[in-house]
Amino acid sequence: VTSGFDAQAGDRDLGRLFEAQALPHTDALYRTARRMTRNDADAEDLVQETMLKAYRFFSRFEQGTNIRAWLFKIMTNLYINRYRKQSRAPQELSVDEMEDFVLFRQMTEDGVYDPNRPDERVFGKLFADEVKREIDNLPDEFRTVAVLSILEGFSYQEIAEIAGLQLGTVKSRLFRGRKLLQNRLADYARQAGLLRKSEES
Amino acid sequence: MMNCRETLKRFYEYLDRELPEVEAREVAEHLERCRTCFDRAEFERHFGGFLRRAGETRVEAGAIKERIKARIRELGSDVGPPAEELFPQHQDHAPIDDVPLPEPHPLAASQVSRRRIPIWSYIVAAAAVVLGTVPLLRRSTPPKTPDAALVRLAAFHGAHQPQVLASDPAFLTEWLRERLAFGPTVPDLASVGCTVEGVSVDSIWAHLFTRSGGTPVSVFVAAMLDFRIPAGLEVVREGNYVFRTGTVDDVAVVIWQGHPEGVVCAAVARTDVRELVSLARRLEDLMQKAPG
Repeated sequence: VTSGFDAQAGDRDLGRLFEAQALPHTDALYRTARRMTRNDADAEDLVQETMLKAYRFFSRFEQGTNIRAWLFKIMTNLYINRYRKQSRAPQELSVDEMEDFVLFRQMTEDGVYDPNRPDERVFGKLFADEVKREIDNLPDEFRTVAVLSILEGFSYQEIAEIAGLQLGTVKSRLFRGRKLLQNRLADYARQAGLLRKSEES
Repeated sequence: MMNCRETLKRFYEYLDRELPEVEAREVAEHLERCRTCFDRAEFERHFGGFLRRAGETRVEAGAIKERIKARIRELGSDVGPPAEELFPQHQDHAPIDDVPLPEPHPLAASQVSRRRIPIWSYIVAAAAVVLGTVPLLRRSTPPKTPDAALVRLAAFHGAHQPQVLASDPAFLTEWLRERLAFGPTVPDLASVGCTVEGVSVDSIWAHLFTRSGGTPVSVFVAAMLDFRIPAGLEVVREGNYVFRTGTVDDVAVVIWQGHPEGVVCAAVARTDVRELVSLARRLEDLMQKAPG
């Protein structure tokens, strides 16, 4: 079965439509691609490939549904299938043995965070330089869900769709990803002397 | 009454507003009573805000956008049905069970049977057929269509699989009225008696394709609730499906009965623009005569 007749006019329309609907999401895709690939050149390739693939499949996109989630799904899929193969180094992480909500405990104990006067700026002072690197250093499976949730604001259900995961898996990866990130930031801050080392406390 | 442990287990879900209402209320109640958990929640909220802002780097994707645009224009009409899959399976993930993979063929039951389709979608589909298949009409009357509708019609046009289209019914009805000068009298479908040789779900598509002399055809699947089937059409049974088939001039019509929800579908292959227009009118008329 071939495509519709008057194919050229149709494709022109489709092209225009695609430019209007999909292209505005390029910035967000690129932002996430950079966090995924940790490399500007790869991120550009990934975004471009995503868009071209989306364009080729655009007639399958169900109009009226969430195009942003659809584009992220295509990108996540491409990323998992292509880029990740190169970089997959199985990391055995004992996240479960790490401390929950470690930053809250340590930062309040050290007195750098005052629960009576919560202030976001304290995090900037401690981790401004480090936070992106630590996000980038998260293992793939945590990083993808964390970026989609925290940075892009997708709902759990959307992330499940985008990344092809069960809802429960999304929840657990988000939980463990945040835990790992906090523990690494705490480690960094201790090394840098910004927080007390555990033996001192 | 939730304790600290139960609350912390749901902490991020609560903060992300992902908890069901009842549980969210229980967590909130706990936070009102437990100072430590309240402080933790505030801490996590602020920390989350910090992460979000830290990731908010201004990215310059302008150049990428231009490149993509250029590539798309270059591709132009080369976008046939892609050979690859949109969402190929990858190994270490749970199976994706909700991927909109293409249906095996246009009249597959699952296309329509998943949900109940409002009656106006028929009109939408008819509009799509008419627009999507009427380059002449299009040229003579440059569309002043609002974007939303254009979007959907174009989506239909580009679709390799027919889709039941959802759109603003009021707009499309008006659009139809405006574009198509329907005559006052419309022959009844029942006056048509001609069979379609292919009766299996698979062969209908092949048949429609063949009938159009091998030129690509546009097919739409429309659902009509409480639709009265006109008498005189050939009744064809195929497994659990019951079809009524016939031809209106050069347009093959297949009305599909026997859907669990009583939905009736029609598939139409275009061979001639005028026939399509009149067919659309006839079907519309039949719709109005449908028993209430």
